[in-house]
Amino acid sequence: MANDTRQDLLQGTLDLLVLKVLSVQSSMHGWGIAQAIQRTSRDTLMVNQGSLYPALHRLERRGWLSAEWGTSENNRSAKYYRLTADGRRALQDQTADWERFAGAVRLILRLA
Amino acid sequence: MKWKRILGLAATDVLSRGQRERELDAEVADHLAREAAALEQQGWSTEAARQEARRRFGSLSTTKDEVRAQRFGAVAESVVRDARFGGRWLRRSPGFTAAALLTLALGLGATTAVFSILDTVLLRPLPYRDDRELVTLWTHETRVGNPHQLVSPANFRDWRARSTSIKPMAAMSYWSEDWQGDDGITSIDAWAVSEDFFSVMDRPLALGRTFTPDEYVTARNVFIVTYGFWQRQLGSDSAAIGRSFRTPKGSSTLIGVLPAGFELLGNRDIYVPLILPEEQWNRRQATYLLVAGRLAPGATLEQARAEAVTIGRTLEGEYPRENEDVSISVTPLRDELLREARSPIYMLAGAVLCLLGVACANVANLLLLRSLARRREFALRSALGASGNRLVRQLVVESGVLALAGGALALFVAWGGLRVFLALAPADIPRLQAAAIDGRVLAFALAVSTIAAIICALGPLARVLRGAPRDALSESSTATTGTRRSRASQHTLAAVQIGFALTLIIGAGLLVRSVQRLLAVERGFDTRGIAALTVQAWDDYPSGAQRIAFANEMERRLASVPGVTRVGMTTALPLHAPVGNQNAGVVAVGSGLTDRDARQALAAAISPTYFSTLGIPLRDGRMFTQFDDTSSSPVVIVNEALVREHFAGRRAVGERIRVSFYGPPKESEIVGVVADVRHAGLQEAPKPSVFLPTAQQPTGVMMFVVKSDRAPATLFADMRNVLLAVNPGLPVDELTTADNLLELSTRERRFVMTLLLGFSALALVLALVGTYGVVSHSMTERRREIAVRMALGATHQSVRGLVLKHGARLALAGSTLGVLGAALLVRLLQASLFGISRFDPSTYAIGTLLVLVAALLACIVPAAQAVRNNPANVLRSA
Repeated sequence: MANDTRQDLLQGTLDLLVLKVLSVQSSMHGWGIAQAIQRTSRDTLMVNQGSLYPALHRLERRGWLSAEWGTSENNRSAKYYRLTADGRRALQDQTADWERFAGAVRLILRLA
Repeated sequence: MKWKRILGLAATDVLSRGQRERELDAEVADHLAREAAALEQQGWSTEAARQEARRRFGSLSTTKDEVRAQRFGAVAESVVRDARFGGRWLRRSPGFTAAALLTLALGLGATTAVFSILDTVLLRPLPYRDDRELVTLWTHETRVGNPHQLVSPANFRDWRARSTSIKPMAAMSYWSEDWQGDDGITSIDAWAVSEDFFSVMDRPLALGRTFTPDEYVTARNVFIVTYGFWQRQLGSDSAAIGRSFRTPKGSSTLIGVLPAGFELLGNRDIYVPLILPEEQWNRRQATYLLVAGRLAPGATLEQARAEAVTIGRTLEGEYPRENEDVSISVTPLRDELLREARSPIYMLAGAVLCLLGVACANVANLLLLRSLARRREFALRSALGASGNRLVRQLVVESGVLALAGGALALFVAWGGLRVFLALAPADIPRLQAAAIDGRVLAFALAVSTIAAIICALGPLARVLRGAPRDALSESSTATTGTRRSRASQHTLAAVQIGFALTLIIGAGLLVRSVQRLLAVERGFDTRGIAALTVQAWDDYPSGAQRIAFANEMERRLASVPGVTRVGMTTALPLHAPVGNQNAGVVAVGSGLTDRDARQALAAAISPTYFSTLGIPLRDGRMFTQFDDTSSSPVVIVNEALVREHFAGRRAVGERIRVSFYGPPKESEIVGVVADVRHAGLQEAPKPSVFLPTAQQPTGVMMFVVKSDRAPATLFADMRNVLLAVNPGLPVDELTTADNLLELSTRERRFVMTLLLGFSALALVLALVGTYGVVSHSMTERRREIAVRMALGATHQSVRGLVLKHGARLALAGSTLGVLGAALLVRLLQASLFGISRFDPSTYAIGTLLVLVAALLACIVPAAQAVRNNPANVLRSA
């Protein structure tokens, strides 16, 4: 494991990533979401569980995610999250914001 | 759809916390299981995978806390949790809790009781409709600069007819209503009120009706009582309306009961119509009416004042002789009623805030000491991830729990304290007796408790906010001292307590010495064995000759009462509230001054034996004799103050002055000079006074003064019988003793003094407990240092000296604060001080000494404890 290449998430980007992951795969539990982020970023982005669950609950209370209880493979009860219509709109907005921000940072980095 | 879902979430969050917790646990367990399963697939053993999953997750409790914080109502919930925790924590340390609760209960209770008085007397609206529109009107004697003279009937009638900005306007007069009982006549203080009085005050009666216009003209045979009187004396019986009561001249019918809370003006419970004979209505110089009115709709106080000045000037033009230099002053009724009450109540408020300061500092110190004991707990929690906010909130909630519990106890203290205050209070503070613990007072108590909670939490808070957890954790129990900063704040708090206590003690000390000086002041007359009987014989004896005959007969019979050694008569008794006119204009003949320049003097008509009865010495000339009567030329006796004012110290006997007393100026010869008397109150310097022989100036007010070798109050029955024998129809206006008058005249001061002494004692005890706590705690912290010192040969005495020095430093710092506080705060006492500067050095010195000695006493126990420990044990035990 190349610890030194791992990145903590930038403040505020966790919400965006969660929304994005859920827009690709319709229904997931918390661990799956964390794994998806890690896997998709090729282990570059580390999700801190201490912030993942508060974020999930926050997004749920904001109405961007809905949740339902199901049964896991091993017969434990598990909570599955799903993107709502509001969540999908929020994802578009936030993606656009992020693109603008990242573009701006790239521009400056190129200039400097 | 979306809102329904969010509302559903909110409902479950708030209503089913248990379910949410179970869900959270399940979700986290699921996560850990998946993580562990994934690790096992990578080749970890089951147990190692489980532990690694747990490790990777990080702090479970922090995560859960943060998830909980996302829930609806999360803040309220965690406050409840903190409060429960705080409650448990308080129960675990009963000694600390009891000390803190008791201190808070005393401080908050006293504050609440004083607030209840302040609120009832000063803040609430008067029990009349729109009390801001009510005004009082006074004769303004512009020449002598007295804007507060009562009003003559003729002037009242003209003012009322001419004013457009004050409408309606009514007059009231002190009255005393007589009742025929089986064992003689009793007379009860009453108000005689003119037409429109009830429309000025404008509150509907509780029962019955007010007087009809006819009843203001016909014979006086109807009356109205206050609600309190109706409850106490008539048993709240609504059938009492219409009942007739026997009077010496027939009967009188109760027609109405005033609304509750109307009992504002003195202790007078009975209202009768003001009926004056026509010749009285034409009198312009006899001033005896109180006049009140209501601003007409749209009129302002300024307009009313301007109009009053105009009316005054017009009347002065129309009646140049009687109304010379007479104007009208208009003041809000509220100011009139509450003027006297303000200063003692503000004094109490200042004093009780000092007491509250001591109590808060004391509790803050206790909390600080506790927080030192808990610093490891906090450091641990902080290291385990509790945020600064979280700890702050817990501290605030804990001290809130304490303050609210203290506040609840304080209500009992306030209730009891209020009973004590009311029992001690002088009767003339308006509506004081109505003070009670009600909703407003409860709200106040709650607010003060909250503020106290915040103040008390400040010390420990500062620690938590500053504190680096690692220091506290690494700090072993073998450290010799506490942190320097925490000790500094404890010491500051202890010094603050001592300071507040000293401020109170100095205030109380100044009042005690004022009262002592007041009682020791040269009064100028003798109060021992003196009793006085007042009658008002205007109507019963219309002519001067009849009045003189009545007075002579009374004096003759009073002199034969067993034990009576001297009898005299006057119209104005020292320290007695004025009955009728007591003022005269005086101008010296030959001084080149006219009657326009006459200066106000105290005036009384007296019998020849009055001065000798009261023991007032003659300085020059002669006393009056029985030959100074209508057949001889007019004579007067004056006091030394008048000689100083009008004759610049020259010999006054033989000089002539013009005196206008109950009538036009009359030229009289000064035949004698008597010593000065403190007439208007012990604190008032003697005023220039002029005395006329009653035989030359017979008025209706008569105060018979009796000196005896019996206890004066035992004479009352005999004196009453004498009056009954001379005129069974004439009521007793008042029976009193000179000692009683003396007591009444210092009562307000002694009331404030007593409460201040009580507050000081409480504050001192609290401050000493606080000092003891701090010194004792710091000795416990330094026990290793002391053990080392003793092991190295320090004597018991030097160790004790160490402790005492510590206490002395605290006390000195506190005393400095206290002296500064007193210098600032005794300004509030200024009005009550007498014969003493508010910076009186000896009071400050004695107070400071007292506090220093007491603080050292508080250190004796810790000092003894410090040397009791065996140094070897202490050093080994660490």
